Amino acid sequence: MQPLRIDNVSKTFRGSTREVEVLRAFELEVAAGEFVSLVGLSGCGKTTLLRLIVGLDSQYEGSIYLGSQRLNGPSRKRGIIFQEPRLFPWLSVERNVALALDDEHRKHANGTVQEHLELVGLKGFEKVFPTQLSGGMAQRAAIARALVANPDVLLLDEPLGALDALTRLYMQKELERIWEREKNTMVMVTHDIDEAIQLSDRVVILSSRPGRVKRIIRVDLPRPRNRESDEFAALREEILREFNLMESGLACSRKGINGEGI
Amino acid sequence: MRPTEFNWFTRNAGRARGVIVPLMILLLWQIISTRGWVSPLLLAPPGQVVAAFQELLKDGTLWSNLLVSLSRVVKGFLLGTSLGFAFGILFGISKQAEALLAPTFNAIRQVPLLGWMPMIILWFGIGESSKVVFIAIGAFFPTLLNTFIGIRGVAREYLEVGKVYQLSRFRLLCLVIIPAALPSIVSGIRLSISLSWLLVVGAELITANSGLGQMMTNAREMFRTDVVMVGIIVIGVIGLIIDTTIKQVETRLVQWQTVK
Repeated sequence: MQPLRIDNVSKTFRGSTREVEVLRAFELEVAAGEFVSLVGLSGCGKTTLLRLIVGLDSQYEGSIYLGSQRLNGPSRKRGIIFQEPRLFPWLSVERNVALALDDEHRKHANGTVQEHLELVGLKGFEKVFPTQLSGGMAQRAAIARALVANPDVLLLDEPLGALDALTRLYMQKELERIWEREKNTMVMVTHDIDEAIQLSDRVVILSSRPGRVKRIIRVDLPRPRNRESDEFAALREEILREFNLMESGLACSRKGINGEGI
Repeated sequence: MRPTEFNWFTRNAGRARGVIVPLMILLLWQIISTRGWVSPLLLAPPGQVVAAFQELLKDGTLWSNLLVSLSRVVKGFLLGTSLGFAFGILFGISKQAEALLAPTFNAIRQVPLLGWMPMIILWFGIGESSKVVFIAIGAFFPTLLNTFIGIRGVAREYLEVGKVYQLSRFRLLCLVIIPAALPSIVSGIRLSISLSWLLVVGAELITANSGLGQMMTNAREMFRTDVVMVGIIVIGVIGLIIDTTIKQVETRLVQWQTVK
């Protein structure tokens, strides 16, 4: 596995009437097997950054490297989990997951698909259709689909954002377990600071539009982490303080905090 | 989703209500005929229509004509709808093809279907193929348009998943685009079938030596109003059966859409 390097990346959306600069000179290096979270107010370019890394959008300046290879377009070495599961309702869970495999692997896919459904705790749901799954189960299936081709890098765009609070806590533990087993490099966008501290080796705080790295906080707590501990609380406070001092002003960031559940 | 007793009752009561108006028309028809308000040459009494129906059944005229009409519908519909499907997909996935061909197709669509009849007769004569082509032209456009609209309306989110997992164009089409567009495609096909049935009778009224439409034209010339009316009722009932069947197939096919 290889490190992911985002080198001087800028991105501007050009509409017919106005331009919006979303990312400016963004620099970040993520070590192989590292779990990194991106936090920041809405519209600071977090999701855009993931879309650039996964290859859904190639209109940007700067470069993104995986190891020594400059990325250009999607690849099975990089998977993504969106906020919604985005499963195809007309395919069974099994076929949804197998979709992510290339022609070669699909021929003897049964074992791999089975293994990954087991990994996310969906054993026995192979033939079920997505509409029959709960939100948490559907997102698990999406995780299985993202992992089945064994990507080096897994990008998570608020993967648990649409789940209820209890399912969310449970799925955080599950994500941690899956990551510890699979050892992929994980880059996760989240609005939940506790979630970021719980899961990440490093928490990257982004400044608002245009998005840049404002601060990186290393989380050196032993896993599994205890949210009630003083160290955890101290980190939480440190991150929150960054938000209150945002240039856009206290009122604005408070609004963001309430609105986004930070 | 589970039907409760109450649901069952209201649903069937609703179905029963649909029969009230036809029954009243039948009653009115009977009264008009017995009172002699309208000449039986213009409106045959119900009894006479039933008798004509039995006669046509017995001597096989109804069956043979019905089969001829149905076979024309099937041929014309299959030809038109499969071409419509193919072009709908082509326009849906290729902006170039759309830019190149869509204006022409749109212009062709503006010609009323009956306006094609003289040309079709010139080119294909008055045999079977002219009827089939006429129906095919009619069946072509609803499927074409709805397939196109369905494909253009496929959610960007689904297409992105296809892109992330690098599906080949063919797999993207079969696994993502067509299933996602299916509800729209199926409703286009349903319109095409209904239209085919309407057009076959129209074509046969104009030119044919067999079929339900021709049976009615013949009967009109011989003032067999009862036979004409049998024709109308049979056409209506068959049309209704076709439409109801397709509707059911439609709900089955797109079940994943309604079950949320």
